[in-house]
Amino acid sequence: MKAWLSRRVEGVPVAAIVALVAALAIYPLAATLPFWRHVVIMSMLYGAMGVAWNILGGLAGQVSFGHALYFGIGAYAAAYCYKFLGLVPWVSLPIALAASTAAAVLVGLPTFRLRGHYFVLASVFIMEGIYIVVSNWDRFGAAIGLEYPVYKAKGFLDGFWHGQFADKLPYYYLAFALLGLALVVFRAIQRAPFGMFLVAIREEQDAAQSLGVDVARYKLYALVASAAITTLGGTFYAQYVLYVEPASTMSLLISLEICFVAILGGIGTLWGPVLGAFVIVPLTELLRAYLSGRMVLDMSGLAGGGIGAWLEYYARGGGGNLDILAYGLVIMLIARYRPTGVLGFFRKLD
Amino acid sequence: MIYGQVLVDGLVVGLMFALVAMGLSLIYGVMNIVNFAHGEFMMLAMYCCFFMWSLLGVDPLVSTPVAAFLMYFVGVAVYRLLIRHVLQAPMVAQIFATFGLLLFVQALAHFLWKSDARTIPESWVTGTFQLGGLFFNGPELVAGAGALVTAGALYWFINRTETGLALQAVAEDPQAARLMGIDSDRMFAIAWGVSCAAVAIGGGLLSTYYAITPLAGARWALPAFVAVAIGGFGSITGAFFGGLIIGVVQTAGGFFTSPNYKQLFVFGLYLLVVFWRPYGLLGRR
Repeated sequence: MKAWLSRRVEGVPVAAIVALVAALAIYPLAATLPFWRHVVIMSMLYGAMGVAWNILGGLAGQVSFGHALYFGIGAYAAAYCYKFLGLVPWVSLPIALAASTAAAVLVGLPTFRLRGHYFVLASVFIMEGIYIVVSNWDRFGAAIGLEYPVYKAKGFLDGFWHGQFADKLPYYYLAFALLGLALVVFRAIQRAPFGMFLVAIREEQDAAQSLGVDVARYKLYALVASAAITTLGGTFYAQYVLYVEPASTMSLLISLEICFVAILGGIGTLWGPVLGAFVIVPLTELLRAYLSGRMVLDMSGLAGGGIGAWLEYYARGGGGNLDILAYGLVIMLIARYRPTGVLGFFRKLD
Repeated sequence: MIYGQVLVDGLVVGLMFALVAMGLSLIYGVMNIVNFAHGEFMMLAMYCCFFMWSLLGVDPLVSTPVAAFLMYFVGVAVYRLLIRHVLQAPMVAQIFATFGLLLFVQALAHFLWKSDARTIPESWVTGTFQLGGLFFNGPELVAGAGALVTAGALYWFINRTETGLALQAVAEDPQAARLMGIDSDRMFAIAWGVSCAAVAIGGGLLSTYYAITPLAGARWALPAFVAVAIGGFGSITGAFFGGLIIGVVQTAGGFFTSPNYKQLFVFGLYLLVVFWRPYGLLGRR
């Protein structure tokens, strides 16, 4: 037992992992305020998606800026199926996963021939293209999005079946499970021959190819696995906020947030995305809450004129978006001072 | 006639895309960096011209060179403070550096000026006129002509001046250029300054008829990437023609379907081009 506890999984002793898992499991029982649960739910969600992104971006070295596409597929599939077809998320999940796999294959087959910036831009443009289609498609609520019919659950199991809870606690443990699933899948891939092929592709694609690694096939497998977990995240998100719209599910900003947690924590590592998510998500959530609590859109103070009124206006948050301002600043600072991420296991791509 | 009108409209818009794309391509060609924040300098120039108009009553056609002058130094500052330090970093870090800059500048504009659209309702050039059966929007035509002149100046600068040739030398082989006594760091800074000044001229010309919002620049820069890719990353001339092509494709696509979908055709074009020629139409490597 003692020997097992002192073993390390990618540098972290098993004892520490057990302690962290236990701490996360009992955290919501101590933190009863919805906001504090929400912060950790979002951290775990982004952690899971960062780990998923890392299968493709970290192991295989293919930098995708279009992962919000799969997030959006998960979110829209759940919302659409529930609202129009009456399917609960547990039933619509296979549909979402099939759609995400189909999308991943359609995206991956042609784009994996591209390298460097050409691949990055292709992933951006495909996602932006789908964004344009969805935000103009009335069936999917166009730019306004789809609102869920709220379900009044008769008991816990009934609510569980419909994937809707009045309390944040069940959502918390679902996100917890999602993060666990993502980590297990990543670890399994990393240790399997499949993972080694991916690393070989990342390190020297042409050499891997010449040694008989089927580069196109393994890249595609990596994308499908990565997209599937991201889609699960999308479905979870839709059930959590009970509202989907293009801007908050399929935009470039969401893509960026997904891969930034992996980059921040250390690309290609098991724990990096989790660490990254638990640093950046609470930061932005706290900032957003703080600013939205103070922000006053009323500009009546300006009518009187004078420097004081201006200062007061800006001190109260100005025209808004201070959270994104801070986010951009953090990203620039990380790129500038720690280009290899916080954990720094980053290796050169392309 | 309607096809002729669509073609002409597309080319006029395309001249602006060409100018934006050339600046992007200049930076990519010289230092292999994709500048996601390129459109934000354009947006800043638009606000710059707007405030010079609203506060001082200066016409955008006069304030555009001033905005370009200011943006030159903004570009140099961005290079010195940020870009220079990620030149040796992995591609992902470089992308994040310029993408972080995009978020930062956009959010700063939101914070300072809100998301409300501003317009300059009256400037020296207004109205439409007819020429040989084709209709022209005055401000758009002036903007297109200004973009063409700036693009020509940029071409002249790169290919005919000593500094431009030094830039090309650095792009070709930084080591050899250094042995020839070219200070590559200074050249990179100049490339950023010139690129930002060029896109600022575009922004200033646009401000006469285009709604000025914090997102205005991004709407031009994203399709401009397609122009850069079509022309082959790093080729200034290629970017120019790429700009004209996407101008026509976007206008025609929007005309025959719905303006909401016009960018879809540009993104589709990118995919077609790179699937066919993975390094761009005119690209090599």
